[in-house]
Amino acid sequence: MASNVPSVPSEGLNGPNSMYIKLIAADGHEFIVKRNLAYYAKTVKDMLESGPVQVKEDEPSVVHLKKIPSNALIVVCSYFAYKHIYINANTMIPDFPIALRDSLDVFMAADFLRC
Amino acid sequence: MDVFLMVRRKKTTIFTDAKETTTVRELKKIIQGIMKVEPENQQLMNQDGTEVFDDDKPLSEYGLSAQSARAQSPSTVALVFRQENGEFEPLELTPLSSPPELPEVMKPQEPHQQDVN
Repeated sequence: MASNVPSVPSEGLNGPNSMYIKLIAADGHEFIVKRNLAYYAKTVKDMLESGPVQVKEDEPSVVHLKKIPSNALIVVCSYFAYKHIYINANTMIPDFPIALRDSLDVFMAADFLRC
Repeated sequence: MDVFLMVRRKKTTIFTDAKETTTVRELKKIIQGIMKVEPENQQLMNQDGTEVFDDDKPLSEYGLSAQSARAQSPSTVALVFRQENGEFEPLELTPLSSPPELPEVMKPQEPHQQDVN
């Protein structure tokens, strides 16, 4: 039986071409984001594309981020969409709000994720 | 116009975007693709749990507009699934980790009255 490798993103979380991927924070919170947005974090992209384990078609694409707490990861996930909109924009770019209490955790997460 | 959403249930948060005109039913189909739960077994509501969303209404009906639901501050929509007994589970959103308390010096300062003798 010939197997077709899909070149379009497949629905949901499963397989190496899934539209969405799951990022798991230190406290177990699970964040599901679109793969193309999460790839703004170079560390996530490298982990999924050239990691030691290849994701099978029926398995979800998951990245465990044991050092990043959920209050920081939620801010990072919002940042991906913000970056995607404004990266090529010529319009005025609005500020990206980060609560003072979260800022250290967010900064360390951004450093680790390279975004 | 695009609206940016966080669909939250217990420890799961789904970041997705939709249009102001997207219906609640269409959003449930997106969730079905990710969570593998039929739309009939999903219920969407505001994060307080005070208003359940009607499948046929557009997201704008529930205050989800491009002005309020931006990429850098997405709006939260709460999700519950139907249980074995046919009833929907109670709304439960697990709180996120708390960052450490700000040290005194970083807290907004109250103006002090100084006595000058």
